[in-house]
Amino acid sequence: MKLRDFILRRVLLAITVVFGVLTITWILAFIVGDPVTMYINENTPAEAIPAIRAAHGFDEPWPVQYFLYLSNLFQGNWGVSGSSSNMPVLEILALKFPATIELAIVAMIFAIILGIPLGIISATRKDQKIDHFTRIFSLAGVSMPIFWFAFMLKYVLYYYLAVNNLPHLPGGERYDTSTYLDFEFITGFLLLDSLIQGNIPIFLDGLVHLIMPGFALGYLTLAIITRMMRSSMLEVLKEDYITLARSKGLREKVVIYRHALRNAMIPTVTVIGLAFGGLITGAVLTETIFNWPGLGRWAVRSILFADLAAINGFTLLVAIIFVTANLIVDLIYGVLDPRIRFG
Amino acid sequence: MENQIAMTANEEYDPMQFTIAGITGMLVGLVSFIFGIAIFGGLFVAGILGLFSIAFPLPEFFGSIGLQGLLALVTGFVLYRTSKAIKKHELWAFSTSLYINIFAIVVFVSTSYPVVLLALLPLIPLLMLFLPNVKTYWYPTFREDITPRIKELKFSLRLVAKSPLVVAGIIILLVFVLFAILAPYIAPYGPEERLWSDGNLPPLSPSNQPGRPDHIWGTDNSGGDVYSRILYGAQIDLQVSITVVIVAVTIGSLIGAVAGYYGGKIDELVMRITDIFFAFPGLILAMAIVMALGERSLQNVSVALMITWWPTYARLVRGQVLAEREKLYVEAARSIGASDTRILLVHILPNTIQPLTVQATMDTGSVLLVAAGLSFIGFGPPAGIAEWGWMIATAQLYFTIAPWAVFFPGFAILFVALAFNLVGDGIRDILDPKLRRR
Amino acid sequence: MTESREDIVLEVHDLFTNFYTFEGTVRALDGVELFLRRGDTMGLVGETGCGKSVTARSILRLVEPPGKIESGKIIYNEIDKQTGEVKPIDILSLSEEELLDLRGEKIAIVFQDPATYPNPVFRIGDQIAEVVLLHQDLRYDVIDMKIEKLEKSLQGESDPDKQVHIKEKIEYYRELRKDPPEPDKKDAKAAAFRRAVNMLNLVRMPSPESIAMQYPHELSGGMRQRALIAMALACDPGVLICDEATTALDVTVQAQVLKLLNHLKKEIGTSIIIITHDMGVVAETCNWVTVMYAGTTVESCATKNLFTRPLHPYTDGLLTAVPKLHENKERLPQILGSVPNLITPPSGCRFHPRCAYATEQCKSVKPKLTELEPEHWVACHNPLN
Ligand SMILES: Nc1ncnc2c1ncn2[C@@H]1O[C@H](COP(=O)(O)OP(=O)(O)OP(=O)(O)O)[C@@H](O)[C@H]1O
Ligand code: SF4
Ligand SMILES: [Mg+2]
Repeated sequence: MKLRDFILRRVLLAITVVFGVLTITWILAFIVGDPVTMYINENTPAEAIPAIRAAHGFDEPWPVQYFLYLSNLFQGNWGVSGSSSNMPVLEILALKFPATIELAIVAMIFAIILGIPLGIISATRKDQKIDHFTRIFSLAGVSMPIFWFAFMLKYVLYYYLAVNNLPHLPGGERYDTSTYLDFEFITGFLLLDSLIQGNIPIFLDGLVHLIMPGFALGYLTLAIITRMMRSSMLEVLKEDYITLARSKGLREKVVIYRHALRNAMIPTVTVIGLAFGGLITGAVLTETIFNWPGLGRWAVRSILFADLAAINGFTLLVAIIFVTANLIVDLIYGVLDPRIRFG
Repeated sequence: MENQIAMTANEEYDPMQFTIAGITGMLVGLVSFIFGIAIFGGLFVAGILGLFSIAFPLPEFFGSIGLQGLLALVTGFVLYRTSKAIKKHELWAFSTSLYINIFAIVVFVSTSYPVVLLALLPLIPLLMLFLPNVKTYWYPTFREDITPRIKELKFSLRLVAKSPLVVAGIIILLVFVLFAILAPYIAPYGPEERLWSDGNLPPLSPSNQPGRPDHIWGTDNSGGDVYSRILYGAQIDLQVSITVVIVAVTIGSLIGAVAGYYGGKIDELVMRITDIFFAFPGLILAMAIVMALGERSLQNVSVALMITWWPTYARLVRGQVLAEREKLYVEAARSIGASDTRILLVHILPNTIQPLTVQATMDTGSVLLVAAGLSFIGFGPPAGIAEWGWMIATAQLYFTIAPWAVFFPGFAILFVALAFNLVGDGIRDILDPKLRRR
Repeated sequence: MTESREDIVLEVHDLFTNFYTFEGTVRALDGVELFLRRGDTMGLVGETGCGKSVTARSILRLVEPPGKIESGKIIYNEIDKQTGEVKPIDILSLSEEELLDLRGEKIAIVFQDPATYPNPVFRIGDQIAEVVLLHQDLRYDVIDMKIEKLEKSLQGESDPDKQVHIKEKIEYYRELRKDPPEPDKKDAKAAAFRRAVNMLNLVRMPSPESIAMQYPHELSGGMRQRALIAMALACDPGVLICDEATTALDVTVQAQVLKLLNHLKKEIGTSIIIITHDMGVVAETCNWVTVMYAGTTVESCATKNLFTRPLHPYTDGLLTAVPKLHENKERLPQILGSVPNLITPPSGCRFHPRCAYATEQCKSVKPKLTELEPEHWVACHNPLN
């Protein structure tokens, strides 16, 4: 199979999955839930509800409603968020998206940069001290209630230090809004925008603000990557072709980093794609704690107001991001493993 | 051989005994099947209400009515089929029937129907297997078969005992299960008890109310005793996560087995559906489901988590079934006329149980984390009920005054999730044939 | 084995290797004795599980945990190319660093299963080039390659000015060839790849250029096996160990590969150890045979001798169990009883529970490998005659 066919097939598959996702959200919002709640609030008189229902086509047969739902979505009409002063959901999503993605990417980079070497070291020094340490560290990571971990970090690194007048990390927000009052966003990505404007102090301030949330969010992913890297590396190191590589007289370093690493990366890459879902989940659980103006905090706030349209839009967006991330991973997979690409 | 009875000439051969054993088994199977339908019928009438009864943690600790109904249905069906095979002298069915009857007793005991007498019902076909003629027919082969397995099991247990991490995990779990069971007896305060005079007390402080016990882990903002609430919280958190996994495993395996076994369009459909479910991160999907269900309750959370988790097991079981079927084709087991039930019970089930156990154990930890997370963002039990995630969510607001009310529930979640992961990890290593021979 | 070091390339004395498993210590090698004469093809035979592969791996110190070489001596006698002096290398006392020079360059190995051995994510050519790049002096190759290229472009060039220019360049490289400098990485890689293609050609691979560009999973089993042989031979090793290099192949391909090995032996001057349980292969290709049983060497002699006059009861059993060559290609010889469990091996002579000639002595005293007849070593208290 050609590389082009491979990509095409994956993309088509992803598109069908996205359609499935649309269907599921429709079922949840329209069949299990009652869509009319998106357009009413406690002040709406009960007599008015049937009219609202009819106005939005909620009394039509299901197939018609489904069609309406899809056509609305494709026209960019994702409903309005009652809990955010009736702003269109799509608009809010676009507004909050960069903050969360920036955080997620930082967390991901952090997890990959640390996780892969940790996994390799742990595998090559199996059953030595560093391996035990790494295993416990990563096992704790996958068992950690992330919201609690974020809170503990904030308590120690911000609150405790600040109370004792020690140097401390900022406790929330993307940058110091009181100092940099007049900062204007362009793309919404703070690090990018500050660089474009050549505003280095804000860039650094943004980085400092990213440390704690990034670590809180990235720990789970770090743990997952480390575990996967370790086990796939152990698996690969037992393979015959590693013995062959050694029999050629290659240095152990070359054997590990050239012959084993590439094979061991194959399953790890899959996990990285899946971990992206964990990051978004983590955003929902930690953004409130760090007062991070992203999707997660907004979603949690919408939950409190039982804002169905907001949650529906959020779920959709997350699923689409997740599917895209996995698609990218699939493509990388094809590059890493010639057997897939041509097989 | 399987279909012919090799009897020595001087022994009397009585086919009646086989018929009796078969028919009693079939009858018990039918009873169980009817139970299942009755339970399910009642369930649909009553809605999914009563899925959890938090008030009685012990008797219904391991199951909800829905699960019991499903299990009763499946057990009944399988018992019926194996008993039919016994009637036809098919050798494989005897040992399977032995296991199924024991399993049926467990299922019957755990059902909330007038149990005591009915639970013993499967004993009848069980004893029928030991009618003299029947026994000489199957028992020798069974013993030959079971001895190496028991040896293998003993070996595995020895390895478990030797692995400090697994032992640690098991001990933590046992401790928390004991906490959950004994909470009413060892907790100094009630789960929803609040002493307004005792708000925000640090750990180890005495109560401001004369004659009340000390607050060893302090109190939260509204004067709830953290230690007691954690003990009671173990009931809910463990119950939710274990039940969710058991139900998800049951449903997922059934769907996966059907998909893998029949293949073709059904398989394709199931796989596409699981694909779609995998397109959502677990917590987000569960969140959307609870949101759609409307009411914030523990039941809804559990239902949402079950819906979120079944595809994992469907995939896993399907993969196993496909692999086993592949092997069977090679061995041409089908060509000698083996029935579907037999292939499923004798070849596929035993090989699926191991990976399923490992996955389920580790997932119980994840479900616990997600459930706590859901309740942290507001999808938990009704306010006031002791649940770890919810405890953190409320205490977090007052962390500057009473940080301990956040610390301890978090540690509880961490420890239990860690324990499940330790055990799952350990079992996987021990069961891995590649690792164990080294 | 009292021979001069010039004659013998590889000797193994009293080699013990254990595997430490959950179930107990597997005493896989229990005092193995071997020697390989320069230019010989030696067959190493024995039932499955008798330790042939472990011996081969031990020679290259490739035994991986939980396995461990406990004791013994493995000596590779290298002849210095300039002085012609014999330089014994004690493999077990080499440092990790020195070991790297031995592997692939002096002793190379072709493993048992071609399906799992090449690395699936690298091209065949790159995998061969890798070992060339590691061990070979490529300075001359690089310059030859450049000259060749220039000559080619010379032919296609019509402009006389440029022709002169190219000729000048060629002259320059010719001059440089007398004392070539270290090539840069890219050139060396290209040269190594060229050699890889040559090696593939040498092992009779059809259209070697395109094969070199392919991934292992795109080749058939026989082709992969040839690629592995090419890889092993790429650095003209002094000893080539073929661990059942042909077992996984079908009969015709097997014959081709064996023929190829014999042919290459003459061309490159390598000594070969062929590990097999196929006595037919031994009879056809080897001039010396060493027989192993349960981790011990039981007999070692010229192939002719072995077939006509086996002295060890086990060898005798092996041979009577083998059908005549042209009759049938049965592989596994059958001897009464079963291969012993190496966690609790029999005491004394490991063969005694299955041996028809066993005496009390055999149960307690382990027989030593001795030269019973000229050029014929046997380890047995009661040898046949
Ligand atoms: N990794 C290992 N762990 C435990 N035991 C091992 C291991 N590798 C080899 N052994 C043991 O060492 C003994 C010799 O194995 P070896 O592979 O050398 O046999 P062989 O003669 O090459 O057999 P075959 O003809 O099947 O290739 C066997 O009994 C085997 O059980
Ligand atoms: S030493 Fe004894 S047991 Fe061993 S082969 Fe010789 S005769 Fe047989
Ligand atoms: Mg071998």
